Amino acid sequence: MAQLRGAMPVFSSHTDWDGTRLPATLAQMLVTEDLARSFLDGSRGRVEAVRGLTLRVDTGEIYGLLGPNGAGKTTTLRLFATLLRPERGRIEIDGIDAVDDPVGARSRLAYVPAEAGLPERLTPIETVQLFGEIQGIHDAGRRAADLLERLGAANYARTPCSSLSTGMKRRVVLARALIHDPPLLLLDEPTDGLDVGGRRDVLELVRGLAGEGRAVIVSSHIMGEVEALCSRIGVMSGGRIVAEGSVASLLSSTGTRELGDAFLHLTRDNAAPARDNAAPPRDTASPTRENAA
Amino acid sequence: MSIADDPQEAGARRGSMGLPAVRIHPSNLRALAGMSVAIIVRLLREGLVVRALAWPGLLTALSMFISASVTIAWRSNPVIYVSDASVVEPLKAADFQVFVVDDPEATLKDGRAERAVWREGDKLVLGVTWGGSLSYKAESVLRNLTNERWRLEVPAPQKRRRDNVELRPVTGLLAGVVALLFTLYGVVIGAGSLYRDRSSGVLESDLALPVPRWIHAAARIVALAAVLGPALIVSLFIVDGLLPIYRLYHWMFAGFFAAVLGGTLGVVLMARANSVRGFSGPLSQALMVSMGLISLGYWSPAVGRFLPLMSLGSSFSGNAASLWIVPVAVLIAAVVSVDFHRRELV
Repeated sequence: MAQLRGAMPVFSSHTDWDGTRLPATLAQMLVTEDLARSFLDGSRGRVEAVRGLTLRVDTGEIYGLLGPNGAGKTTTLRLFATLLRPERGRIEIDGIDAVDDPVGARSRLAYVPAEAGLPERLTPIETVQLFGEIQGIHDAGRRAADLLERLGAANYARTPCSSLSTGMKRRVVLARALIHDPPLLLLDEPTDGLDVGGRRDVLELVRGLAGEGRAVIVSSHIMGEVEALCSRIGVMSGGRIVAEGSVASLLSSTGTRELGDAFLHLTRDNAAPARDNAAPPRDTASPTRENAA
Repeated sequence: MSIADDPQEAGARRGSMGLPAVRIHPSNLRALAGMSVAIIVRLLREGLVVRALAWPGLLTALSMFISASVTIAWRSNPVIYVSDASVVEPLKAADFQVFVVDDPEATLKDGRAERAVWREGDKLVLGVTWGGSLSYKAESVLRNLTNERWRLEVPAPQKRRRDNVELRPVTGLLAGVVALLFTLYGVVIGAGSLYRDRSSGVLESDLALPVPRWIHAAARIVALAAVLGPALIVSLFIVDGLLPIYRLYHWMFAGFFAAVLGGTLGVVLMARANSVRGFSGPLSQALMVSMGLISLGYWSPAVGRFLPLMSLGSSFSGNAASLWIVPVAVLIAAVVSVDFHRRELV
C-alpha cells in the first residue's frame, strides 16, 4: 500500500477497509477527483482549504469526515453541496456532474449545516412544507407532517422554531432535509450542541436513514460519534484526507488501540491548511493520487 | 467551470459575451413564488419590521387626533360677535363673551370668529363655522329671544383643495418624507434580513435547495416590494387624509420604487460584502449610496426622473417620476439577481 509522509498509511476511497477494490456493481453516490479549493485570508494570504480530495461514497454507507477544527471538513461538504465551486477537480453526485449541473446535483442531496438554519419566526411544519413547495413536491403539507411525525417532532410542529430545544431543531432540520427524499445526506457536525440523549437520538436517526439505502456523509471532530456511526472514516487534516478506512484498519495501520490516538498520530503533521501566495501547486500531495500511483 | 445553475441549461451556460445565461423555466417561477411567500411571512412576523412599517401611519393618525383635540379645545371658547345690541344681554346671561362689531358676518368669513350674529332685514342670522354645544346654546338663546321657530342651516363643508398652490410645498414635503422613510426601511430590511439569514445558517440551508441561485435574490426583491409597497401606500393615504397631497399617486409611484430599490441595494451590498465584514459596513454603504442617488435626483431632475430611487429626489424638486422607472427597475432587479447567482455567499 502506498505511503504518504513516511510511515503514514493512506487508504484509497476506491478500496474498502480491507484494501480490496470495491466491485463496480456498487452504486456510487458521490465521487470526487482531485478536488481543490482555496480562500484568500487577509492575514494569512491564500489558504488551501481543500487539496486534491479524491473520494467515493456508496449508497447505504455512512462515511465520516473526521478532522480537527480548520481541517477543511465544512469546506468539503460545501463543495459537495455545490455551495462553493471547486478551483479544480470533479464532483459527481448520483451520476450528475455537480460542477456542470449544480441544481441537478442538489436535487439528489440534502445538506444540513452545522448551524440549525431554521427561520425563527416560522413553525417546523411551515418550514418543512415551504421547502417542499419550493421544490414542487406534491402534497408537501402532508409529507411534512409525516416526516415530523416520523422524526419525533410532531408535538412541536406548530411551535415557533425559536422556541425549540437544540435537539428538536436538529430533528426539524433533518425533516426539512428529507422532504425531497434525497439519496445523499451531508451532515455537518450533526450533534453539535446536543446533550447525551439528543446526541444518541440523532445518531439513531442517521443510522435509520442509511438503513433505507441513503448515503450519508457526516463531518465531526468527535471520535466516539464517528466510531459508533460510520462504516468508513476519512481523516482530514490540512485540507487533505490523510487516511481512510474502517476504525479497525485505522487502528491497525497506526499501531494504536484507540481512535483518538490514531487520529492524533495521523493529523499531528498536518495541523494547519496549506498556505500559498499564488495558485495551488498541482503537485500537492494527494493521498488517493499517490495511492493510485 | 460553469456559473449557471439552471439544469435546463446544460448546453448553453454562458451568453455570447461570457455573461451567465439565466433562463426562466416554469418550475423556477413556482420556486420564486414559494420562496417569496416564505420571506414575506418571516418579515411580517418580525415585530421590529411590522412596528417600523406601521409607525408612520400611526404617527400621522396620532397627530391628526391631537390636532382635532386641540382644535376642539380651542373652539370651546364661548366667544360670539354681534352687531345688534338687543342680543348682547341675553347672550351674556348665557355666559358668552360678546363682542359688538360693525360687520360680524365679515368677521366670521375672515376666520376671526367661530360664531356671529347679524341682522338681515327683520331677521336675525346666526353664523357658525363649527357646530358643537356652544353653537347650539347660542341658537337656543336667540330662538327664545325672537320667539320664532327657525332652523340652523349648516353649509356643506368646502371641498378639499388638492391643487392648493400654497399648500403644495408642505404636502410634497410630508409625502416625500414618508417615502424617504420607507426607502431607509427598505435598505435596512434588505441588508438586515440577508445578514441575519447568513449568520444564522438559514441562507446556507436555502442555497442548498435545488433551485437556481438567482431565485434567492429575486424572491427577496419581490418580498420587499410586497411588504414595503402596501405599508407605504397606506401611510400616504393617512397623510392625505390629514392634508390633501398634491400629486399623491406620483409620490406613491416614486416612493414605492425608491423603497424597493433601496432594499435591493441593501441586499446586493450585503451579498457582495465578505461575511466577516459584519452588518454595519455594508449597511452604511447602502445607506450612503441610496441617499446619494436621491440627492443626485434632486439636483439633476432631468436625468433623475427616469431612474428609480433618483426619481424620489426629482419629485422633491417638483419633477414627477417618469414611467420609464418601471423597466429600469426591472432591469436593475435582473442584474442584481444575476450578480447574486454568481456569488458564493457562504
